[in-house]
Amino acid sequence: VYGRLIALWLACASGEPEALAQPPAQQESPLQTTIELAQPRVDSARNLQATVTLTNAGSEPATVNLLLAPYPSVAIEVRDASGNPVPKGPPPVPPKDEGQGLRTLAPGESVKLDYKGATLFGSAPPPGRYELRFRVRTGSAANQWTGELVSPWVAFEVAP
Amino acid sequence: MPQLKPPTPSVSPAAPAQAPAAPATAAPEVAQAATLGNQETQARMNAAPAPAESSLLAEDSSDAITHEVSERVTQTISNAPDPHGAWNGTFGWDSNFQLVIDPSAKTCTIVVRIHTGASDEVKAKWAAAIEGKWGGKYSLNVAPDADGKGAASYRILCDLQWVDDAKDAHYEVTANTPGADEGGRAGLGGTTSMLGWGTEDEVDVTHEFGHMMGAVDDYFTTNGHDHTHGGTTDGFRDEGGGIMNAPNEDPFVEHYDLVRQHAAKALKVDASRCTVG
Repeated sequence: VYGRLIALWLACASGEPEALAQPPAQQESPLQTTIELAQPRVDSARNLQATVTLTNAGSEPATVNLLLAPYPSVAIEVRDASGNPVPKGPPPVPPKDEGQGLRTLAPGESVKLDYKGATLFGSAPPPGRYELRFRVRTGSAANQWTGELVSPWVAFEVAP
Repeated sequence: MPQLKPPTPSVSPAAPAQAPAAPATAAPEVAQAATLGNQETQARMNAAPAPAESSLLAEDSSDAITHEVSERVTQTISNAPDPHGAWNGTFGWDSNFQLVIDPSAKTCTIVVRIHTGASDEVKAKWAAAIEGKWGGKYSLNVAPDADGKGAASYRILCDLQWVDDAKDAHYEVTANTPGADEGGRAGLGGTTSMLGWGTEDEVDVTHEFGHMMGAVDDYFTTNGHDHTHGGTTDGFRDEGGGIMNAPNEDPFVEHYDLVRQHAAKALKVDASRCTVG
């Protein structure tokens, strides 16, 4: 029940009402995914700092594959005030999955991931209002939770 | 395995007066991003001192020619399957570097000035890897003009310079210590992006440097070019894929295309006379 409430809250926070109408096809995430900004208003997007927290909100240990999570260009989505995607810096060479990203979280355990605008953007976006969120596809083998870890959108502004 | 030619980078010039026609194959979103890049780059150029550039032709002087480059590069990746779906999309960055063409030494040096908090030991390791990978492999060749004059050849070298003041840098690079930064699971040796280099990495950083000099990725389908060879390869880290696909490999001549274009400008010759080989 707790997990369903979290999923409902994430769907509302992400502004995607269609997620409420359609039950998720994938297995429900045992992880609560949140995102926080050090400052919601920055003088340059390069100074942006975000922290993503993944918490095992379930009652059993959860194994997830965080192989792609460290790469800002593929783990963070950014959109402008009109909802258009904001280009990020070039993505890294995709890593070969050799199990190095596997992480098992005990019930209640969290992992934090830090992201910096300085490494996210290849060109600093112009002044304006934006939103960003964490979104990573995880899992590819047995005994791993498979699905998307998605945080709510969080707003920030690049000062003129 | 036959090597597919990487696409020509989609770029926008530092100064609108030098703007080439948009590539015929450029997607609308790429053209839009390039226009935005013009505006931003022009603003930066207005705020910065004009780049130094000799007015002498290469064949007339032994003085080195310096030429600053600041271009917006964009690329659109498609057909990346799960779990790499996040690679699909349009990405953009500024390609900033300096060319120093020395007619006496017959060299064309790509200079990139970097500000970073990395240790001297790490900086030396990065520089050796990058300069060895991108320098000394090819030459910039200038064909003679209609009168049979002006032919020249310049060995392409690479010079990574470390600056103490960020204002003097082409780029600020964050030094990622594996296990400590950006989630503690940062890439190969800590490298996570063009501007996030791993302190224990001497391989992926050479790929990321390629972006700084204008090379696009050669993953999956990039700018319409299929790097999976019809689905027969992964589309990344493939044998024979070249450095922008597999960072342990060497560059292709196409990866120097922005260098070639700007070397032509610096030498004041038509770009069609310049080749890298």
